[in-house]
Amino acid sequence: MRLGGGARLGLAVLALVAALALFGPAASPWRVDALDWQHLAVPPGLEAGHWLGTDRLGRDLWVRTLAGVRVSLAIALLATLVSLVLGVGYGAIAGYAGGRTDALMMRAVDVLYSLPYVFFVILLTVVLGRAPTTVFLAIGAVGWLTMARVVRGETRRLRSREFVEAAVAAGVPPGVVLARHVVPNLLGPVLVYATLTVPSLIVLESFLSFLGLGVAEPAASLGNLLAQGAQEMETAPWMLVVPGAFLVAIVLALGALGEGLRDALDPHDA
Amino acid sequence: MLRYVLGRLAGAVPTLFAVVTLAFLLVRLAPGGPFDQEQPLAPEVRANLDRLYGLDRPLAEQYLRYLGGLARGDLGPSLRLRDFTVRQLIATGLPVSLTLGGLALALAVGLGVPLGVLAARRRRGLADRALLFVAVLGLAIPAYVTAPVLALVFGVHLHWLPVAGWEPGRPADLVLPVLALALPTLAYLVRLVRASVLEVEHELHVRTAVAKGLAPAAVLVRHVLPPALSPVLGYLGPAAAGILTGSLVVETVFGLPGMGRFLVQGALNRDYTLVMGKVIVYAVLVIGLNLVVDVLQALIDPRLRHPERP
Amino acid sequence: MRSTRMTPEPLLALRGLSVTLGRGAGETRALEDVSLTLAAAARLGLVGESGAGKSQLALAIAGLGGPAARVSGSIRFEGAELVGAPEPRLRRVRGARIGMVFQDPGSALAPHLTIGTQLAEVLVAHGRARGAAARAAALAMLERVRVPDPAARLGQYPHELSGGLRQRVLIAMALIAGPSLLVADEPTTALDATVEAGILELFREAGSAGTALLLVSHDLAVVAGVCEEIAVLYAGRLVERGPVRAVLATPRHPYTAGLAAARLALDTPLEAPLVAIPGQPPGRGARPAGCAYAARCPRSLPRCAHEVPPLEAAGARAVACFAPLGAGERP
Repeated sequence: MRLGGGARLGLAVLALVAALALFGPAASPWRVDALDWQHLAVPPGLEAGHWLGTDRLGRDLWVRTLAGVRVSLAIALLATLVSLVLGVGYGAIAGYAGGRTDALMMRAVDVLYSLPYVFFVILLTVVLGRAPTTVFLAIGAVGWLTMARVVRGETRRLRSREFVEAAVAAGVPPGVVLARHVVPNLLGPVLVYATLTVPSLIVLESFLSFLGLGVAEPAASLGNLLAQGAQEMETAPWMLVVPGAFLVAIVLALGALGEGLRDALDPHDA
Repeated sequence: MLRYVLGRLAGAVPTLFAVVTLAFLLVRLAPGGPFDQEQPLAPEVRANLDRLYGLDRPLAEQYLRYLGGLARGDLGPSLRLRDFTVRQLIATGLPVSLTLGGLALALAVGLGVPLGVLAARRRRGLADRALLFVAVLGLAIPAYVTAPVLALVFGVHLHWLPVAGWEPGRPADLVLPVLALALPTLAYLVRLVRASVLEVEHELHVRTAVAKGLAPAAVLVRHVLPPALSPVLGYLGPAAAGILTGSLVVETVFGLPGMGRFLVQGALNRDYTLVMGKVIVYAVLVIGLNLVVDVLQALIDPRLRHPERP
Repeated sequence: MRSTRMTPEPLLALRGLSVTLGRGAGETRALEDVSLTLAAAARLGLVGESGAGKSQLALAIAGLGGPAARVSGSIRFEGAELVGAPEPRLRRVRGARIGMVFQDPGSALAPHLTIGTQLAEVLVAHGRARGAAARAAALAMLERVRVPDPAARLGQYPHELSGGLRQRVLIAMALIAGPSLLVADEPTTALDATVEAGILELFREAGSAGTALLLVSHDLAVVAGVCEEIAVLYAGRLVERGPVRAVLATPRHPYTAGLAAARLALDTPLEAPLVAIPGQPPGRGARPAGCAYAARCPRSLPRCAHEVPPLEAAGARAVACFAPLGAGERP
């Protein structure tokens, strides 16, 4: 598989952002929730040791943003994993079984689809309390629905392919056919879909934090940083620009990677 | 075709029923109740309230009563905003959200589809790359950032448009919220339409159309677009429901009295009836729009009209 | 040898036709310096293994190779040059003067349009007829290609038809505007053998009605059954051409001889071993400097490895080989 220049650039940007998120905060003398009363809302600069400025409470934005990237990426990746496992399992079984089972299983997905997801998230928040775990569970619980639809469609298509029919005709039990012949062939489209989902999940997390349902202060996520930044953008624009730039970089990089993967996996896309 | 539509319609009823039941159970299963407040109520007051709203009855009975009311179009009184019925609250919010959402949807589709086609036609060209970049930005920047930025630039600094507010008959109020609401859908549509058009252009029947000597416009309009727009419709169904029921963010930022108002508060406060009412409106819209999408897709692709046959 | 005396220009004349696919490091030659003529109402079969460039040649004639295929050389059709011709001119030729029939009738027809619409569309595009007149012509055309119950078919969609019927519809679409040339790319490969015979009969009829035929196939039997002339492609180059019977009876190029021997005749005893040509044709990216067949050829000479044998005509036949077979000789 050969990746184009755009996809490779995206991969490089992602690696850089991930490295910064992992090791960046340790390079600064400040901690995520440390308040610096001498430097309230200072713009980015080198003097005070707040390289990317501070917020209203004098908290260091370099540290907070990178910690936020860490939290947001972790939530998005975990949620993608949750939706991947649930969606691939459910979709593959429905698509492989076909007939009544398939119709019933997909009807259940339709029902869940018809509930506004904010409703889900609120209920989960109520039951589990506000924590990053809740957020990723909530996002994953919504994300698997679309994944299940994608996987089910692909499985239907694979089901009628010769190599699957050959395995069935040879008496291989359904579970083994699914695990060894169907699921491995699903990975291409699923991978592409997942890279395109992660950005939207990051945005979704930030949206929940904006509504006050996501990651709670003083912990940082890209979402609550952006929500604060949006309120202060007239007086302290860097509070919006700094986390915004990271969000845009991550989403663009993931987008480029996803498109590149799709091109590389797509035979007729010369 | 009529049989197909009737069949889908009949299939939608159990779906709606399941949604109502599930929502009812989920709301009730969450711990706490509508009358749990910071200052606990006197036990007798609470008992009175519970009796008044029928919350002292067994869950099954409450459920059946709710269904009975629903069948008559009665969504009950709001448990927290006690001067209003849920219907009144929805009746004030829904028109605002529908106006806003309808305009945003029209803008997103009216611009997104042609731009997506343009990007596909100019594949790997300058216009294509520029459009894709803007589209990814549109997806990456959440509405709660674009909305205040728009308000700041056009409202506070340029004074072109009102920053926020909603007065009937003042169309200028609509411009910024519609823009903020349309942007993510518009961005997604550009990418989706582009990918879909490119996919269909590779199909062999398009080569046949060219081999027949059809003009490029005819090939595009008659042979490429109908199959290419089918997945786009599939995306638009649920997306339209989301837009039409109003974006919580856009309504919050611009202070609009739409459907999103009270939903979060209502759910946090266990205003059972209000939350149920809003969930049902949303579900009816989603199911109805999916039905419309299914019918439109069957109109485009005759193979879908007989799903039982392979 | 033809004299320069007032012989009318052939319907189709390819001169030094080359097709390059891809760009940069991925660039490959699908077709290399092919010259070929086809007279009006003549039927020519083009054979070769997959990857020999047959389909690229068929697509190049109507300018359908897409942006990935770059065509050089000359394609003269009805006295006019098609290579480099502006798109609007090509459009007037496609469908109207050159009809195309593709391999897989299942995917070559638009799934969302009725048969009637797809047939009438050709006439409308070329300003021949519209509305009821176009529909009447479509009905007549379906009758001509012997589609049963043609009036009902007009309102049906491709998925409601069998593969054989779809191919008949595709042929009707290619013929409806009365073209002078029909290009068919593996038209029966996707069909059952029983259906194939009926489709081939349609091609013979089109020929008798004055439409020339270029039939691309990997199947010698199909070509032998329909065409008068045969051209053999190997690795993008024309290696032999001539009258079908003569070429198959006494092939002169060792590759043609191999093909003819590999073909299973009906009277072959069951216990006789199947003959296959040993080795593989070179890939498009790895063509050798000399004759592409040299590595597999039992008769190859030292010069074959670095010199490309030119196509040399003798009478009605032509062969590109430094060591052609004599009459009755086996490779």
